[in-house]
Amino acid sequence: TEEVYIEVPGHVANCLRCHDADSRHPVLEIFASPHAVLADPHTKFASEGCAACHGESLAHARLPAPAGGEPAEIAFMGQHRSDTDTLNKTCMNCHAGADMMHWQGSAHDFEEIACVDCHTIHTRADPATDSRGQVDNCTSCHTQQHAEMHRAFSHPVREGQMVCTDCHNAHGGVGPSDLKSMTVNENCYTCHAEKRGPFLWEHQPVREDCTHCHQPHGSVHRDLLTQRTPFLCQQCHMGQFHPSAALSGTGLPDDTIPSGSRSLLGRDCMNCHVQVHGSNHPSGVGQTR
Amino acid sequence: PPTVEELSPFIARASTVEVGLGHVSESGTRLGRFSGLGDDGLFAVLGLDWIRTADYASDRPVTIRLRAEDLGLDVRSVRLDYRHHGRFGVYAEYDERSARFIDDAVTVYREQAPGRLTLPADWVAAPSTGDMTALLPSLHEFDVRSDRRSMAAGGDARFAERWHISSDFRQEDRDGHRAMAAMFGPTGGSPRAAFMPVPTDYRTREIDLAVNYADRQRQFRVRYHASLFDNNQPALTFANPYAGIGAWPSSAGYPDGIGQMALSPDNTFHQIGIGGSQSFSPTLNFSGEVAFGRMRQDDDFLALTINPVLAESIVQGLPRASLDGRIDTTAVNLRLAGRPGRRFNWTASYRLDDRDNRTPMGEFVYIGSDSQLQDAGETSSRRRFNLPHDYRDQRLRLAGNFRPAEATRLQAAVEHRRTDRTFTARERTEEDRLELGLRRNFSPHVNAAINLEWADRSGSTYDGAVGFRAGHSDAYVDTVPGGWGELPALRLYHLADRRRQGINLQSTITPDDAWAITLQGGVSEDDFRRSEIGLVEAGNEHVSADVSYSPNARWSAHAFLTHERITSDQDGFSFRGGGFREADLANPDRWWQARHRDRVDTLGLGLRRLLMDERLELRADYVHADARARINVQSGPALDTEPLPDLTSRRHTLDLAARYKITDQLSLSARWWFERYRTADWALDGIGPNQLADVILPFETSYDDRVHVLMLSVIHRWY
Repeated sequence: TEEVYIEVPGHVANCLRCHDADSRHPVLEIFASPHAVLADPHTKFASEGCAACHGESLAHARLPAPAGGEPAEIAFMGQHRSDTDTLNKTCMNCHAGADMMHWQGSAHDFEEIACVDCHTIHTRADPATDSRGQVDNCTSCHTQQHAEMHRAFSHPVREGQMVCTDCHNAHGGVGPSDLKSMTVNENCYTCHAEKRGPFLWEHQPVREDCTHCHQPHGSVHRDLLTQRTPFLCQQCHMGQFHPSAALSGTGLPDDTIPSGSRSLLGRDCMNCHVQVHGSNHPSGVGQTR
Repeated sequence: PPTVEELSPFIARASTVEVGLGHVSESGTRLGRFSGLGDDGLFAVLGLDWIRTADYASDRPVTIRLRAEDLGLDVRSVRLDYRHHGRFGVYAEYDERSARFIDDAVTVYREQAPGRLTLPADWVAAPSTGDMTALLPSLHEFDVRSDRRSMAAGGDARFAERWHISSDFRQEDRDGHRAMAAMFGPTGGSPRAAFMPVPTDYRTREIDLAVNYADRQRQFRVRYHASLFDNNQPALTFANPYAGIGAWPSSAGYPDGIGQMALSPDNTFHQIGIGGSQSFSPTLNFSGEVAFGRMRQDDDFLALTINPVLAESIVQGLPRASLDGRIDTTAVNLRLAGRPGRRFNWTASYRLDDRDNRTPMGEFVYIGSDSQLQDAGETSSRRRFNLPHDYRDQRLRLAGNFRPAEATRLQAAVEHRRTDRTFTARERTEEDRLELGLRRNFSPHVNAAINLEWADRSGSTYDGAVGFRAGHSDAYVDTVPGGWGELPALRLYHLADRRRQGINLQSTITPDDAWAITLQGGVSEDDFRRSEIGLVEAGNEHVSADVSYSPNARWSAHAFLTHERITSDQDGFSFRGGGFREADLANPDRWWQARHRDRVDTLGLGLRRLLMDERLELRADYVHADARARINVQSGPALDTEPLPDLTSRRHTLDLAARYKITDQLSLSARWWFERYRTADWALDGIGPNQLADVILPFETSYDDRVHVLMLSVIHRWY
């Protein structure tokens, strides 16, 4: 039967003579990606083909580097990889704006991370935009956070119910630590809106910053707390009587029932002070109502 | 060029449907806490990924995709996307999430009506749980869990060459129960408490709208965000299971005693943000975001007490009917970034987080835990003022990267941070931070980096009694020796002077394209150098190794290992009030110290393998996480302390999966997921509901899981 050749723009046909399915870095799946949608006027592939990202690369087309010639003008991997600034500007030519608006000078830009260090272009599905692939991507560098996610108390990242980009914008978040919200607390209130208040009886550190007490990526202590209660509470509360008591094994129960210290067992301080995030009861001064 | 036929395997988008059965061997495990696998028994494995997309050359480039995941579990999600590439896209989404915290918690309370908890008719009250003969027979179970169901819809569109709009609407309903204590009696005297099921019935609606402009030189965005939180259960009323004790008015105890708790009030947050980025030249860029927001909360106050007898003692009512709470927020993030050459780049940034708390102050003569008569005397300690805390945080940061040679990079950053607060022990804290880094590529395959951090925080005069004085009447403060509530030597760790030092080392080794090895290690220390009481030192040490091997698309392996040691030291001083106060404060033998030593080890191994001409895919993952928290409390001879057992958690997770492609259209999938999880916690282990004399506990227990999850499914694939 007669073969029907695909219609491809620019020099693509020429490129595909080498960069075919058997190539070390196959590229054909780009035709299943948004980057190659010809009818999208914002996809330069339609008018420029591979040159939209890799440059004209005429010398490379005449004699490629493996054959003793030249690499592509803009190469994204391998020994001829272009400098990071060049690579990222190539991507930013189309991807500036909206959530990418604050990329310049952001933590990853400052560290000279290239877009392609995380993203895969010539594919139907970029792992960086897939939930599991994204977490693997991020934790391959952020090993400390990776370890914290495996601690006994953590947000449900390893269960696949949350991903890094639920809180962070890797392309330059507007908040500290590239958070998507302007402040830490605003970010937390996205899922924990009931803690926003404002309350009649505020707990000042809570109002200020959730991370004063909580470790968001995971903790060995319950409720993702930075330290075990009641000792965490006693780092700030040292009033007369029970707040300043030396709590230790003497508060553990003996063989009799009832026995043991209410300041140590069960929820310790929160056995009574149940509204540590703030109370709106007019008699809730001690966070008990 | 390739033919259409040759290209089709690479550009075709397959749809899949997965149908099967799974089985969970045990309920209430840690594995099931968030995964939807919290109940034992069979469950359906159901998933769908249906996609219809035009080919790359179509003049109507539309992609429609319907994805449904975990339909047989209570963490299911369904999402429909419609995108006309280059023009617009819309989506609709439904999502469920479940969090199970305690299965089969116990309580003596019954929910007589929504928001009203009562005791059994044959309840036997007593001042102590030890004499509550009906306690154990009265217990019934409830689950502490949270179920979220959210619906979302939105879209984005280009309405001009460089203009783009987006909108997102989300509504989340959350219900379930929390375990919280119903408490009676003043906290400092003779409190009594009983855990109860507290219903959660929340609805949160979020709206995000944005208009974006982008060209190569400049981008800007105007956005609006709203978050509207409603609690359909704003209060909870509960009976007192304790018989009256001497310090309480008689009506506070059983059978007349009744209490009421205010649950999370409705609140709203509206924010308008304006952001932009401008490239002045190829080497200089400015970006910034300014956002103005307002939080409001104005739920009607509950009464000072729900107990009608105690309410008769009220001579000074509420200063107003509701809080009229309002915090105006201003957040600014400005950054100038320069890259004058390939060897040098820099940033200068300024960040402001200002929260102007406009909530009015008022005087409230509270009635403690529905167990007191109102004491509105001039010198009463119960005359209290709410404290609307203001907060203003500013950071100025300069950072630079310099490459003296192609393979070497030097990095430096200085930051100054100033935080102003009201009604706190320190009106102003200031912190200076210095970061230095050196990175060197020893070869194309090996690089190493060292980063140093040093920071010093100090501030205005520390006066720990500021909040105490502001929150009480002057007449009362005058009666308190010294005029303070917390020990003057206490330093709150987020306000205290602190010197921080840290060092991090990292090396990446890539012998070839297949291997990647990352080694990291670091130490950081916080010295709260002027804190006599409170947190005095904190530290963290960690080492980690991450190795991946991926020689080709047919197989890959990875491993990671981390060891962390987290330490903190806190000092305390035990003192009693009233007539003991002066004598105790003069007694140096009442000091105590708590030394916290946490150790965490994590090991992970993983393997992916394609066999039999890529018809068989095997996957294996193993994680071992082991943590031990040791708390050593020591004290002066006037106090009595004993060792505490370690808090431990140990987890082994093995996840094996296989997928066999019978034909191009049909695959079989099998997965075995095993988890062994054990924890030990002295606050929970063996602690029954009647263990404490003055708290009826929910019988929360440590984990001792050995759970198997087996899944078998058939996957049909079509184009």
